[in-house]
Amino acid sequence: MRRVRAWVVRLGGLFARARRERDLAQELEHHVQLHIDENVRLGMTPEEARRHALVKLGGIESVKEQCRDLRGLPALELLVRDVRFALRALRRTPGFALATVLTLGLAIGATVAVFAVVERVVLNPLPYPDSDRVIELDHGALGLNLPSGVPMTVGLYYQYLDRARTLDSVALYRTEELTLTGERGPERVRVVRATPSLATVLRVWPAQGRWFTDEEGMPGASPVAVLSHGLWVRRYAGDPGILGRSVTLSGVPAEVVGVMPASYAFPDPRVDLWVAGQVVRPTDIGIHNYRGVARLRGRAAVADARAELNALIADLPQAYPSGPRALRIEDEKLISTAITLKEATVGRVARALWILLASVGLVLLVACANVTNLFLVRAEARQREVALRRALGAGGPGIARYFLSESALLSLAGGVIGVGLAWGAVHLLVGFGPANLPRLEEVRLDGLALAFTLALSLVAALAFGAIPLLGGAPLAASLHESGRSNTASRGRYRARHLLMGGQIALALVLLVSSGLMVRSFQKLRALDPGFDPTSALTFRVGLSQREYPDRGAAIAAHHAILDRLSALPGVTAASASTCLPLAEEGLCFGNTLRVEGRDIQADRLPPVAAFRAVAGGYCEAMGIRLIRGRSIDRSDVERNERIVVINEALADAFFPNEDPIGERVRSNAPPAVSPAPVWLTMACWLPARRAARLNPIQALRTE
Amino acid sequence: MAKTDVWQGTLALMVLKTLQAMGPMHGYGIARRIEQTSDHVLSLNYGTLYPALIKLEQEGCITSAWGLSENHRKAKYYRLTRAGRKYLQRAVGEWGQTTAILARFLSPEETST
Repeated sequence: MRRVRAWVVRLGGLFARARRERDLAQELEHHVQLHIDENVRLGMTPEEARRHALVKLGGIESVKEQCRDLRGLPALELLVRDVRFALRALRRTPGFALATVLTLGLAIGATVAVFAVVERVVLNPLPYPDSDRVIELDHGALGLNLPSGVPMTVGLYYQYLDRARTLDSVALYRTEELTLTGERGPERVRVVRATPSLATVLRVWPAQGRWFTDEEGMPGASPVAVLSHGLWVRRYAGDPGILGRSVTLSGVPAEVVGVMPASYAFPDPRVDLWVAGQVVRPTDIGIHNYRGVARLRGRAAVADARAELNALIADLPQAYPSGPRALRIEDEKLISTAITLKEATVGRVARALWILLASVGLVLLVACANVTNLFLVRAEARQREVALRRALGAGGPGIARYFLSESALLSLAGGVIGVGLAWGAVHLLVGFGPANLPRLEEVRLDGLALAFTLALSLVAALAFGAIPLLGGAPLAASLHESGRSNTASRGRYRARHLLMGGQIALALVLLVSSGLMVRSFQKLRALDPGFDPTSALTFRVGLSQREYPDRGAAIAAHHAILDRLSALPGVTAASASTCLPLAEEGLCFGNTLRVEGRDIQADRLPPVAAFRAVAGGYCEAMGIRLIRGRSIDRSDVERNERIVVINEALADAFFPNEDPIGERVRSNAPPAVSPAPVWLTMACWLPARRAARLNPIQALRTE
Repeated sequence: MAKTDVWQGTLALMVLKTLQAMGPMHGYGIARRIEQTSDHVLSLNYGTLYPALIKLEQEGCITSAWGLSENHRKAKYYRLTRAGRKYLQRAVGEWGQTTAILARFLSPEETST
């Protein structure tokens, strides 16, 4: 305690030095005077008395020196002095200082901004307790040539729930888009339908109110909803009385029972509310219309879970002997490809972000090399100054400190500028970044990022501050007027060349890789998606089953919307589809396809195609070029013509060297189309993913 | 017997004890008093006193204030603080213990028989 106090006082001793100095002088003078007086009283001559007093004291100046050392903090004072010198030297060369600080600032800023994103998004993407133990129950269907991405079925859910020993808890969820109506007008919202077990798996419960009870996950229970923090604030102005109120989702009222914490964003930040999914034990395995998450039990690893789930999948035919599905479980060749939720969420992004971090790290290296070179040139010019300092008694450490404080000053200034730049960059990133990047909106420059900046600056300072110190010229030669040009700075020359070479090499690597990236991007942009995305606007609309109970009412409503849209000035064409090209998965359903008059081969799986229902004029509105035949128009829809348009890929796969127009296909897809009479072939579509490679369109039907 | 030098660290204790016994004093007075108390056995280098005083003041054991000395000159007077008193008390206790232990080790043989 006394020690601490002493240090604080000593820190204070850095100030008001003049007064202290005066006090000490006065005190010592007084001391000597008293001693002299006493000595004189004892019979000494005044001179003798004075000498004796000074000898006894040990010299006024020496005592003062000892006291001075005690007063302030000598190390700190030395540092202050070095920094002051460095500042003075830098002020003499403002161009050099500015160039260095800006170079470093840019590089440090970029590195810190990316670091902040990596820290939040890659290292810490899931705001759930023990989030490493949560896995996504993904599957592959080798029989369908789908190595992964096949979701869960209710049958699988019960199979896992009942029998998996490696899983602590299992939950099903599915993302839907519904229309939220109420006082503030209708709004399309993202809704996650989840089993009540979701909270147990993620171990996150509402910040207000409660989560779903098990009973609410049973069929027949009254609908309940939990709001996201975002929706609660945005639509209900954070109303504390929200609990117990009713919200209407696509015409169905649901009671609000809870509000989730702001950090909760499962499965992505765009979700507005969660409703209780009502599932029952099925008699067959069911269709893949739910995704699954689970928490690993005990010390079980992901590989253990996969092995166990694969065994359970192999046992499915015994569990569900009578399945009316088109695909038999055996043919599907389902496998478990469970991965950690973290991997599933950021797996692809993570690699890109690490690469980004590595490349900004390279930029920083280039900047450091650049600045080091500047320093070397400067050191060359200052050889005489250094030699002079040495001749005047400055030791090696002193000169090193002097140079290092200069470089530290520059790189800390660069760090400050870097933090400013990173702050702006992070704001831009959060504003413009992809919405499905987990926790992106939480990215900010926190203490860790600032500490990272500081460490970066200091390491940089050491890096380019220390190199000029290596291998100085001999003292005498440097001091000599003409000794500058020809002296032993060969080592430094070599260092400079080495640095320059390294710098160019690094810059080249960056240039080539960014060039490649730009090229890939250009190619992606230049790729013909088969439709014309320029000046195309899209939005989503959903009609509730209650208000539009049959196909006629729904089609009339859609047509009314389209008519009004077409009447708007500036609109050249308007149409509708159940699923936009390149749209996210899940909304475009796929199923098996059968061509009339062709036998189903028993030993082969029927091919799968993705479907979408469209309104008249779809091809015109989307700018899709027809290869052959005609497109679907409004009268087709009104007459309920059963026609279908296929894309080039499907035509190639099913009707190689044949004319598909007039052929009839059918599918056991939910809109069970009976054989379709007219066949049209059209431009190739960009495959969204492998399953969507075959992409027929069919006439608009009720939703 | 040759004059003994002041041991390291004991000077602070002597200063505190002196101030406790005599009340506020200036540097020269403290120095003289320490010599007197030791019956002039101690040879105190007065120069070492001032750094010691600064240290004690920084640690909060003593405070100083300007006042008038006996020869009507402005002098800096040092005074024991409460913290200093407490510290002194503890240090004296510890010192007593240490010397007692040392005495037992170093005393002539007869005490052990």
